Amino acid sequence: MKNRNGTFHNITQQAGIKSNPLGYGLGLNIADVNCDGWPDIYVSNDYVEEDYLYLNNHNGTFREVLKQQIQHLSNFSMGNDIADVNNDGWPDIFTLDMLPRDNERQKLLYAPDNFELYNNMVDNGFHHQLMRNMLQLNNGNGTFSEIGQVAGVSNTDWSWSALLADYNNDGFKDLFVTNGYGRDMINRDFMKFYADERLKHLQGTTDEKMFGMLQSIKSTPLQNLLFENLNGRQFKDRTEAWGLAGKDYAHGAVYADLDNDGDLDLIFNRMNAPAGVYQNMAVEKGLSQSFIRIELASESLNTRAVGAQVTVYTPKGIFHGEHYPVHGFQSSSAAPLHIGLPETSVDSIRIAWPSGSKSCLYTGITPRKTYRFLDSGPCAPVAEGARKTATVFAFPPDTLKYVHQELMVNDFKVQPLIPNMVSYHGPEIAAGDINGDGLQDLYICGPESKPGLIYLQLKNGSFFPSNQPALLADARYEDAFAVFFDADGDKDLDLYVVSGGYGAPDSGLPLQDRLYTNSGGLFFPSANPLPDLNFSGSVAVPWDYDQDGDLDLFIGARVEQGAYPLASESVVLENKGQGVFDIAWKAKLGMVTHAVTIDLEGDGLEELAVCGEWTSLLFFGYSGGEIRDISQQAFPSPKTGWWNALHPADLDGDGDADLIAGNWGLNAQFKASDQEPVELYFDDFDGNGYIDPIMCYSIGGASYPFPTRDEITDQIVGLRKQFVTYDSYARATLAKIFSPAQLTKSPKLAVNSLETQWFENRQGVLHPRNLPVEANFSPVHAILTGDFDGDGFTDVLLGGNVEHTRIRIGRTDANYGCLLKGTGTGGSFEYVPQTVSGLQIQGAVRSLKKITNLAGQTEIIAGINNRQPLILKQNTKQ
Amino acid sequence: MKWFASFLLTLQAIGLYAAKPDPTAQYVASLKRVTDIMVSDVTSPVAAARYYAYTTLAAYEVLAGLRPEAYPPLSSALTHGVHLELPAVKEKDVLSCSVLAMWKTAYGLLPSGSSLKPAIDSLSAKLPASSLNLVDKTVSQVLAWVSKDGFQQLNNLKRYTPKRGPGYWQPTPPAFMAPVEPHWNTIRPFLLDSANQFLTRPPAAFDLNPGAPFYALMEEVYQAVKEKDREKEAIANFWDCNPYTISQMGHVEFGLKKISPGGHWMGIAGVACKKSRFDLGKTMLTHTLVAITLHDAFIACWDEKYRSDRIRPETVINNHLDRSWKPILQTPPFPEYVSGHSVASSASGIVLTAAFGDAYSFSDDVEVEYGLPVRKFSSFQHAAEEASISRLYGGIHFRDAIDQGIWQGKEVGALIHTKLKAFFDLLKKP
Repeated sequence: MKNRNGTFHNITQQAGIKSNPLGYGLGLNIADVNCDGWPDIYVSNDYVEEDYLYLNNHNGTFREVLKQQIQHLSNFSMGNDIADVNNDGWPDIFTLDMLPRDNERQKLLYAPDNFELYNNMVDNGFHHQLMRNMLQLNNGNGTFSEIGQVAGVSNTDWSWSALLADYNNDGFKDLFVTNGYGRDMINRDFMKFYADERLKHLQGTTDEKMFGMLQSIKSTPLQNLLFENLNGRQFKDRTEAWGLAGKDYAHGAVYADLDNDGDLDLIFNRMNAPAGVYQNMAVEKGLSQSFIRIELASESLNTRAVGAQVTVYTPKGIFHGEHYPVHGFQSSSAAPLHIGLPETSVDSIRIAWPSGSKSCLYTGITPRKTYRFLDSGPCAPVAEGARKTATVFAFPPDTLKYVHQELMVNDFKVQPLIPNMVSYHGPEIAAGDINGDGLQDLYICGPESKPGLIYLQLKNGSFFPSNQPALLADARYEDAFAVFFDADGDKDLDLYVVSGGYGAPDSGLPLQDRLYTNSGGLFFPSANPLPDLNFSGSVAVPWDYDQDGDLDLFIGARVEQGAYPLASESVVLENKGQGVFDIAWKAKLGMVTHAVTIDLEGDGLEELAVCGEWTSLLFFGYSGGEIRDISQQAFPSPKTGWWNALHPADLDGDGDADLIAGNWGLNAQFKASDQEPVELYFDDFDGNGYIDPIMCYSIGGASYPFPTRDEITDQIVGLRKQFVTYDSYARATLAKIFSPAQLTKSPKLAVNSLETQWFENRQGVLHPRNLPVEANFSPVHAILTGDFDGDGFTDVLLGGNVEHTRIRIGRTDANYGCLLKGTGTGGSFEYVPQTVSGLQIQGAVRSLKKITNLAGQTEIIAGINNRQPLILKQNTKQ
Repeated sequence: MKWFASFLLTLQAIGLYAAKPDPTAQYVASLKRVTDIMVSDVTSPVAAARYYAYTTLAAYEVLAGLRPEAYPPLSSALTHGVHLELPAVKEKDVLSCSVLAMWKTAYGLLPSGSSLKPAIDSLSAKLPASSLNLVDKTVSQVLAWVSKDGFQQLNNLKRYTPKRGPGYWQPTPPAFMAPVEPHWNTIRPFLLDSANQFLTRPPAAFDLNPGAPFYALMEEVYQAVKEKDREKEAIANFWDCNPYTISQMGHVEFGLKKISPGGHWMGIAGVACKKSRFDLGKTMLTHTLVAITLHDAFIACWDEKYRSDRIRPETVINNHLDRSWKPILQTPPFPEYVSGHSVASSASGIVLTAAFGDAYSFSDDVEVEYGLPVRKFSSFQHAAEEASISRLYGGIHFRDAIDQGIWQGKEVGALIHTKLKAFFDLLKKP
């Protein structure tokens, strides 16, 4: 509605705002999301219709950019709020949904994963929508990282209003959420059983019957929730500690300092009940640090200067506020702008008056006071400083014209209960100078039914595909890994390719590994056949374990076809010279995902480090003529995880090799610890000849099975008799589902850490060390180290993300290339904001390979699943 | 509420087992209890036919055990049958023994079969140990035989993924459910030598050029729904027989349940048995023959469904002709070709005609309790034809799927009739 001299005119369509009949818009927020001085719009939509992010074109029109900037969003979006959660100056977006916190309500309300429905939505142009709250961290470069789960605010049940404000006056904006809905309309038992039963029993007209039926739906009042923002990325539930009691059906809410004591009170309305007020006692109880209150006025028709942006500069940081009255859900407040501060003095306040008219700096400010500013009052103008700085990485022109293409399989159609897909693991990339021209060339692993390809580096740094008939002939294989090494001792690089893939047992996917010998840059199948390696593998590591001068190979086994979590034996192939290989050692190590060599003891002899899904980090050495498992000495407190990648490097600058290990990360529904591990029971529970893998994890202190009632009863059909209703399954632990004898007999795997960490080497023993929380925003699948910013300290680059998962686990894609800067102080690292690193890699990175071009500059090739690889170049001189 | 429910149960028990005993009506009512559980559990048409077959067969085998002179065993006369070892027992109360076997089999097979426990207990209390022994021997051997019919292996087979490409089936609104039982052709039939014994003609090739046969078929369904009249709409609704439709009222979504096509034809069998005053033995045999027929009919039909994997009218019309077009009936969640109702109805029509004769008129009141009217038919053939064409009126099938479905159903029905001629002859005995 455009205001023309006091009358409103509908310009919705001209302005580019969608009015879709599918839309159930429940939340609306205005904020300057891209910090260009103009108000933008976020609309949260319930049901099928996705949310919209409209950016202001500065001419009365908007462009909708959600899909380009946000990777996934809430499905049943309710209220929302926008505020700078991490004090980086960029407004972050928080949307509410309806995912319950406890197991019982999850089981009662959650629909089973329906891949057909999900794919149908995506095929019809809708975005990836998942049922939980989303915290979209604004990266400041036109992308958002969704971190709701690691932040601890993803599950708040049937929630309406989200209010981000600093309730304890410490400088970080906290979160208040109203909760509760009159009827559990999506109760699975109601949908499947009670509605039909009730309708058949009720008398009267259709409307009367419907009304009677609807009245029979269960009502569940819920607790309003309050979360303390700890550090800008993580929240702690303070609902009880901060005195919120009682269950309600609460919807709209606002904050305002009702008693004028300097802390924000909360006012909320309740369905069929009087409104409620939470009086904030932070100031009274001495729990508040500091704050400043700003009243804005304008002589224009916008009398309260709505849209003004306020920045408070203090010695302890910069704090932001935007002056918009509408927040949360259908609520608006007319209170002054309240900005909480840590205990500090204030240097100055900058006010950007609405719509970029002018910015003024005000000094002489004392905290804990209310200031009133008028737009026509005295103004010390400030120029808008340029935000641009040189980034660490740059992207050279697109010189590698390869696109990785997956067959788009769904592993859950083969084993419907497994937690993770094994497919979508590529492309792994091998680098080496295959033709002796001094330039590193590439082998890019081929997905199923596509060949792996050699790309030759040309002098100008671009890559050119090389015609390799022997490789093309092997297109039917799915390459899991590849490595260049001199297998036959003729001083050129031969190629070993590990065949892999998940597949159904009868898929006919060939699994034998391949060794190709190099003859002047052309590869031919090795004249010496490899021993039988007919299993799905994951990695090959050249490792001269016996120190006889030729390179032997460790081959990791990934998974038995269609029989997750079983895996064949991993093997060591001994090089008998001239490229003849024999199996020298084999052992069941679990589902191996990666391995590297590392000199743990600093004696010049390399040990082998192996990781896997549901395994610990395993270490092997060679002594007394034998390969020995030295995990216990090297890694005395085992950490079992969903490990994906290992990388050795001296991270603390003490001269020995430390180890970085990429795990699933902490942005997940399930948390793993020694006390509360994530577990996988896998046995043929129904005795029909196939493994039934059942994952369990802790919710609220007890461990429950991950599958929904429909999912588990579809797989173990006998359980249909035991769990006729959803309610009967909603509280079931595994001990209620299977007998003690069944559970004792069942093999089991457990994970006690999902955290990506680095491990400090102290005299050959590895000790866990934490990385910044950003390292755990998403699964890490590729790791590189180097002094990327040229400051003399080793930095870490992490790539990852997962795009193909169970729907309830959902895409985990907050990593756009995570650069951690070494500070030079004993292995401590700082996250480098994306605006500074320059990284905005979209998709699931599966490999990071460092190469050197003719000019001796380092480049990084990022292999991205189902996309074109990306080349990164260091911007700084070294 | 609780006292009311138990009051109802008591009334039912009295109605069934006290007062005037009409064994035929009591058998039909006992089978109806199994039907009700299937409806409540939401049982797919194919699974329902399998449950009907084995529950009625167990009941019949007890009859054959008690009255061997009149009724030879049926399970050993089947192509993929089994020989049951049963003790010789003297027992007058054939009804109670047979119903007990039916319910105990249902108890063992149906997800909510355990809800029959009180009824099974009260019926068991009436019978001497020797009779209970016969029932249990029958049921345990039937269940052992069932356990090897391939059902338990279904969940090991790769789950279906909709094929990409024009003309293939895609999940349909409103729930976009996964398709029902894509591997049902691996289930053991009774008399078919294999699931593809009666291979239909392939469906009209997917072709969206006006003038192409497929286009004409699509246009026909589209127009049939647009120009629906009251009678055609009534026919479509009468034969809907969809065990689970999703109803959306504003934000509320819930399932509405009805009997399956097989359930409807079992009901018609009951109507005819009562009308012709069939005695208990003939009634049980008739129901068993229809149930066996339904099971084989669905196996044949499902084999074709996932071979041709054809798109539903709703999908193709929405994508290419009219986005807002909706069929009268909710599209069931599985591929289109051939029409399951056409196969099941035509097969049942052949078998019931063999049992009761050609011009056999009847009033079909099977779905009155689901709010549908009574419809009169001049013959089983008449009913089967109407059930078949109802799928076109309802907007969920193309005509070639109906025509070929009728052909396949008749072939299955004729096979059952031929192979079990001796049993059909028993029904003709005075």
